[in-house]
Amino acid sequence: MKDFFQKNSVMPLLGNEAIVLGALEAGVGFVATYPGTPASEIGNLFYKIKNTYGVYMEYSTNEIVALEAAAGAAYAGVKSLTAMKSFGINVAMDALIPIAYTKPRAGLVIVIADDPGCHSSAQSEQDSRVFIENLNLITLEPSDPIEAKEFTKLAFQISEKFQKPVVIRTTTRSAHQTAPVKVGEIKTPTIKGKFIKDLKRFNTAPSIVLSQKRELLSLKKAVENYFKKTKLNPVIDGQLKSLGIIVSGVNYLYCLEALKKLNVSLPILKIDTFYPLPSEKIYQFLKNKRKILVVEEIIGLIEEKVRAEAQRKKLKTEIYGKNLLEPIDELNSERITEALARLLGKKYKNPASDAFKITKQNQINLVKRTPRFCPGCPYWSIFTALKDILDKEEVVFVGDIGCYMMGFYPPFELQDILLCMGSSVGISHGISQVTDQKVIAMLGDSTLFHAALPGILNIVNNNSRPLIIIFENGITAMTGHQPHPATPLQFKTHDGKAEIKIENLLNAIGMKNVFVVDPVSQNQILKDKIKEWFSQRGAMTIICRHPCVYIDKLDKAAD
Amino acid sequence: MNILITGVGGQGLIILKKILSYAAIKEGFFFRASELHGLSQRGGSVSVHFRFGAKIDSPLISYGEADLIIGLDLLEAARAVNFSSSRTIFLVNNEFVPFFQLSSFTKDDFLKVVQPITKNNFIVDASKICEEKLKSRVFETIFLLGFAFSKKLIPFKENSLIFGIEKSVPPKFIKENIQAFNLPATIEKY
Repeated sequence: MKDFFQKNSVMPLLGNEAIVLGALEAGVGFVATYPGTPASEIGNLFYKIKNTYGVYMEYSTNEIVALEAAAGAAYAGVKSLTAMKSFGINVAMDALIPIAYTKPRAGLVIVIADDPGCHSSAQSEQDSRVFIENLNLITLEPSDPIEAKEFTKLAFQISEKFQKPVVIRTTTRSAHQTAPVKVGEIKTPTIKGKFIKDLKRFNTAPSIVLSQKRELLSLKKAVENYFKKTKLNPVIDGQLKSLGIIVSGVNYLYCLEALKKLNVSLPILKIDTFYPLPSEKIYQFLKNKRKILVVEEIIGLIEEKVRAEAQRKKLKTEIYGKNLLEPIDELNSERITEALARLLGKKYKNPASDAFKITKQNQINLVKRTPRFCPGCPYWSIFTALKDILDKEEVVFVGDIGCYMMGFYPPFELQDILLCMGSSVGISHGISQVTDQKVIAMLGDSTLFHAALPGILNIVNNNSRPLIIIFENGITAMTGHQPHPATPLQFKTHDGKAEIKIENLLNAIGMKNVFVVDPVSQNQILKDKIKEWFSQRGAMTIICRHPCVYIDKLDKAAD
Repeated sequence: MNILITGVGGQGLIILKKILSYAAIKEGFFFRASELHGLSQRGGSVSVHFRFGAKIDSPLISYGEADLIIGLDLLEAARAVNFSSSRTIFLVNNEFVPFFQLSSFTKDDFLKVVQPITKNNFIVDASKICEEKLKSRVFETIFLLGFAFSKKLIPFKENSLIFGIEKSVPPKFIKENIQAFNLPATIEKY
C-alpha cells in the first residue's frame, strides 16, 4: 500500500475513495467507523493505508461509538472523521444532537451515505437529510468523486473556521461512482492532541445548553455568508431564462443529461450546501422565473424551503418538484427527462421504449438472481440443521442484519421478521412474553456487539425464553469482511487488542444454557441442542462458531 | 462511448472497470463509471456502467443507449436488454452461473431475448478457452477485453489497455493477464 495516492497523478477513484483522499490532504489524524454500504469503502481504504500515511484508524463497535470517538479526538485537537451508512445516523443520533452544540478544537467531519432505491439496504428507504436539517448541521453534498474530494477538504476547513462538525452527505450514486481525481499533497498528520478544559465548549449541562443552541442557530447566517465567497452553489446559465432547475447531489449530472435528451438549455442552480441553503441565491434565481423544477431524491426538503423563500419574498414563480418526481426510489436521467418534458409541455419518447415493448411482447421474464451463501459458508450448515429439525410452521424465526438474512431466500425461507440491527433479540423477547409459541432470534457476532447486548440483558433480566442463535463467523462479512471485537487476533491488522469470547460475555451476565458448537464439524450436536430447546421451556443460546470462508479477505471478494 | 458490463459477483467486473478507467486516463478521456455490488460476493447480479469521452454527464447509461454490452454470464447479459438498441453490440461469455431458481440458460435463450432488438452479437467461449489454454477460467474477463480490442469494439490503444491491466491486477498476475488479453487475436475460430 506504499504510495497508494501518488502526488500529482490522476487516479480513477470511487466517491468513497475520493473522500479518503480529501481527508488525507486536509490532514485527518483520527478515523473511527462502523462499516455499512454504501459508505464501507471509506473505512476499508483507511484500514489499508493507515500505516503508510500515519493515520489512527479503528473499526468501532457501532456508529455512535465511532462518532463519539471521533468527536473526542477532535475535542482534543486532532482532525477526525467518521463515516456511516444512512441507518448509522439513527444509531448515532443521541450523541450527534449534543455534538452539534459543542465546539471541536479541530476539524470534525461526519460522512453519511444514503441509499435511495435501497440497492444495498433492507429496513427502509431513508432520507437522512431530514435529521441533518433539524440538527442545524452544516452539510455539503457532492455530486461526484471530484467534488467528494474537494468538499471533504473544504469540510475540514469549514469545521475549523466555525468550530462545528460538518456533514458530507453522499448517496449510492456519488459514493459508488468512479471518475478521474487528481491527487494533491498529503502531509503527515497530527495524531496526538491535548484536551484543554472549557465547560462552555464541551459540556451541554442544563444551565449552558440553551445558550449553546442560541449560538448554533446564530451561526446559520454567518456560514451562508461564508459560502457566498466560495465557488459552492453555482448557477449554470441557460437560454430559457424564464424557467429553471434547482438540484442537489448526483441529480445534477442526471439533469445535464436530461436537458441534452430534450435538446433544451435551462438555467440551473446547483445546491452544494444542503444546510444552510443559499437563501439569497435561491431568491435571485427564482426572481423573474415563471416555473422552476426542484430535483432531489426521496423527500422534497429543498422544494419546501424554496417554496417558503418564494412565499417570503412574495414571488409568483410556480414551483414543481415532488408532484412530478415521486418521493420514492432513486432518480435517473430518464425520470428527470420525463418530469422536465411535462414542465416544458414537450413530447418525449424514451428511446428504450422499443426494447421494453419488444421484450414485453415476447413475454420475456428473466428470473431474478437472489443472493446466496458463498460456497463453503458455515451458515449453510446452520440453516440446514434448522430446516431438518423444525417444522417451519411451529416456530417463529426472527432475523437480523447480516449474511444470515439470506436464510430468507429459497431453499430455506426461514425468516418471518426482519427489522434493524440487533432487533431480533428484542422482538423475540416480546413475542415470547405474550405467546406460547417457540421463537428463535438469529443474529451475527458483529450485530450482537453493535446493537443486541441491551436486548440480551433484557432477556436475562425478564427471564424470557427464545432460542438465540449467534452466527459467529468472526468477521463483519456482509459489508466486506471488516474485523470486530470477536475477530481472532491473527486476522486483526489494526490496533484491536481484544478477542472477546461471546460465551464469557453471556456467562458473565447470567445467561443460562449457553453452548458453543461448530455448525460444520458438530452439526449433529447443533441439531440435538435445537431439539432439546424445542422440547423444553426456557431460554437457550447456541453460539455457532465457524470462520467465514473470506475471514482474511477484507474487501477482496467484491472484486 | 457507453459500455455496460454485467455478470455475477466474483467475475472480475470491478477489475475490468479499473482497467478501462486507467486506459481512459492514459488517452486523455474523461470518464464516469457507476457500479452496484452490494451483495455481489454472494452470487447476486453485478453491473458496471462505464462512460467515456470528451465530456460525460450522468454516471449511468440511459436505457437504449449502450454501445457495447459485455456480459460475463448469458442471463445477466440478457437482463441488460433494455439498455440496448439496434446499434448495440453484445459481447457475451457463453456461460451461465446457475442458481436455486434456474438451472439452465442457454445461448439460444439469450438470443431469443436479444435478437429482436439487435443482431450484433458475439457469443464467445471465454471461460472454456481460458480453462483450456490458461488452466483457469479466472481470466475470462480479460479474455473478453482482449476480444473486444481485437475486433475493434473499443477504441482504446493496445498500450493503454496493457497499462490499465498493469495498474489493476496484482503484480504477480500481470504476465498471465496480458497473455489472456492477447489470446483472442491468436484464435482463428473467431
